[in-house]
Amino acid sequence: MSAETKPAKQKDIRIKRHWYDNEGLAGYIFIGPWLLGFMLFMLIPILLSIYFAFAKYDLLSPPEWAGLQNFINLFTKDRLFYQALKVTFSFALISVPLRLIFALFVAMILNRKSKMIAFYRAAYYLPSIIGGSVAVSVLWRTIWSQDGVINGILGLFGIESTISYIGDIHWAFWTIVILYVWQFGSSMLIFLSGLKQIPTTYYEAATMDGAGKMRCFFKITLPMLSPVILFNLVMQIINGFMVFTQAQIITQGGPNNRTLMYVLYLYNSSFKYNKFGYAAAQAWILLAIVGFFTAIIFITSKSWVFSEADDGDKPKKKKKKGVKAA
Amino acid sequence: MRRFKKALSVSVAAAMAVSMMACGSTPSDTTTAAPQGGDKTTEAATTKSGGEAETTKSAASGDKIKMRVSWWGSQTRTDRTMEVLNAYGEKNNIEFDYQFYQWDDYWTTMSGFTTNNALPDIMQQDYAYIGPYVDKGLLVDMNQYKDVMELDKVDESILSSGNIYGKGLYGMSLGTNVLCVIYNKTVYEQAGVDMPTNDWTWDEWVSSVKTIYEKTGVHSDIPFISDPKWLIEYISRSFGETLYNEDGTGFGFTDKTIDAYKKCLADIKEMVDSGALVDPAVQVTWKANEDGDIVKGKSASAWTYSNFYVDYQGILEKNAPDNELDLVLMPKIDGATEKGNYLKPSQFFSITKDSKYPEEAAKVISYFVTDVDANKILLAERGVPVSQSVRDALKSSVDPKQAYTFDFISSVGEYCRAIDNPEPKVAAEVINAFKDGYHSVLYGETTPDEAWETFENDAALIFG
Repeated sequence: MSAETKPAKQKDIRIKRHWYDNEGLAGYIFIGPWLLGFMLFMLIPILLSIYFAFAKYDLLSPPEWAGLQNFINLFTKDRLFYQALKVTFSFALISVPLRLIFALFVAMILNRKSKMIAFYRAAYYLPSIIGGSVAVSVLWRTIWSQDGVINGILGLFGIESTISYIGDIHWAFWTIVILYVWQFGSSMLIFLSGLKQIPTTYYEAATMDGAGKMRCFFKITLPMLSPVILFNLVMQIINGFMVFTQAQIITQGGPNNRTLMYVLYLYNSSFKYNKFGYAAAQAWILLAIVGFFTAIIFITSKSWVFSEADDGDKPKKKKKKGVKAA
Repeated sequence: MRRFKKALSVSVAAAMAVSMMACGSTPSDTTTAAPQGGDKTTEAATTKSGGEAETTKSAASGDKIKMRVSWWGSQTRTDRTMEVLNAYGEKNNIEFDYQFYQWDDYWTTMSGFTTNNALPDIMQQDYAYIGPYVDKGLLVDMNQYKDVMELDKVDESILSSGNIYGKGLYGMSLGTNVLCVIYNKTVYEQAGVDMPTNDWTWDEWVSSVKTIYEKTGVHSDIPFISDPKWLIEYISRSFGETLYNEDGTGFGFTDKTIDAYKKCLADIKEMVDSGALVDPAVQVTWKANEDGDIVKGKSASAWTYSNFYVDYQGILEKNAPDNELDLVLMPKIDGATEKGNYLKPSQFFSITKDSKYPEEAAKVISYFVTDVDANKILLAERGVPVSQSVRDALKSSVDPKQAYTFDFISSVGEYCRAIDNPEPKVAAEVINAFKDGYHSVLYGETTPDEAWETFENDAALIFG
């Protein structure tokens, strides 16, 4: 009996092996749609944009090879390029830390037990859902206009203000910073989940030893949260350099180019002035800048990100992927 | 208003543009995707093998022609344009496909269409863009279809404005405007200032602004804060010069224009500082027609196109019923030797090279500008009609304010000189650099001399 069944089994196995039984193939089929989309809408345009960066291209006629001319013009002659860099750097360096501090602050408050906590979380996250939208930017313009809500509120307190914030060369930049900081929701949620993972025993022990609230925060919360802070910092720096909608809708880069964000200038170069080659060069410079800052954060992170045991490499890898995708 | 709506749809524009460039084809290319050969898409094209005579016949014999028309503009414009074309299509067996966008999206989309030869049969054009389109051979000379168009009904000066670089009739103007100063008659009266006439001078404008501010506390608008190009173009034309040189590779003006411009700018800056002109920080935030002080009775004058008069007066009547606006040409620049003003075609209809039925398209355009019934629907929304017979017929049916602008346009002809060549393709960037200089002076960050120097450097880079 046993001699009979054995070969039969083997035969069965042989018959069942079809070409589609290849596990690798199934995998490729599953990622196929994504791969196709990636090739068509990401990879090919990205490769093309490398070529455009070294060409003159106005869409109406085929691109012409221009060598390094786009980069030379950008770096040596273009006043607005430096203005855009200046604005974007100040923006990223001011608004990102502010947003993170704010997000952490609110996350700490929401990390308590209360009946209304779910409601508060939703309420604080709301600005982030609607925040990047065009509608909010339009709203912002009305809030900060000369006869807008802000001046109205100041008036209630007896402060006569006729500042037209979004048209004022000193204020316009700050209205966008405030809008950006206000949209702290996603960083806040990430902080919140990070806070929840800190074992309460640490705090109990520290409190027993007589540590105050501040001490607990700086000695336990911050170090334990540092991998999450790293993640948020990297993501927000990238976002900060890529800010566009707010500046385009609220100020169009004005007044007098005080809010000319880098991506807005890039957009103008391509869609307003039809200089697609020039814009591609700008885009690659932006990539280099963002990459540089991300690299700096990662290199310095070794000295300020606390990780338990050798687990430290793990979150790092994750973040690198995130950067590429962004 | 245009800019406000433009802002609203900007993210849509970006998304669209990106997807368009990425895939290199557009959803609505079925009707004109293959202008030469391979015409499987429309029955008319397969049964009749091209050729204009056949095309015309096919329309008559019952096969429906499909035609795409595109434009930018307000909802009112869209509604009226579709109503007119639908009625025409019904009678002439044409099925129209409409594509309408806001200003910025429009040009992004159109430049996408140029890359895959899918421009609409009829596209709305603007004087700022038509030059490069003609240069690249994307438009069709309508003179070939003279016989089917009623060109004799259109004013001679209008036809010449569509004659791009003297090469041919590439655009049919859909309406006429003129740059002017809209002023508040009531405020001028209260301040005891003489009413301006079409012969007034720059100095008279300056002194009227100052006097009104001193006597009534009412300020006036800064001239063309969102597009100061109109100011320097007017100045250069006043000296018989042009903004750009013949082939669009540089400027066409001399120190005369530059000095006059700097002087005007210094005057403006002085009045900004004294409060006689609006604070630039406030004026730059005005987007919609409803935003400006002129429509609230809080500004004595505003520099703009004559077609805004109707809208401004309408809004002002709601805000300040006892106020009344009037139109006057821009003041004469000191030492002017030539007429600086010109009648501007508000926008064109052009036939593109991708059209399979250029002759049918020419008929559509002719109907659009010369037919009285069509224009009774359009109601001069695109500017003063280009045909005298249409203007006469419309006068009784349009709003009296609209009729008033008809008269104004007819009366200023003697102050106008032919329009300059269309702008070169770098114009948008030059204009922006120029605006930067204008604004940095208004904001007190630099002097007119320094601003001009920066602008010249920028322009050198842009012209390349």
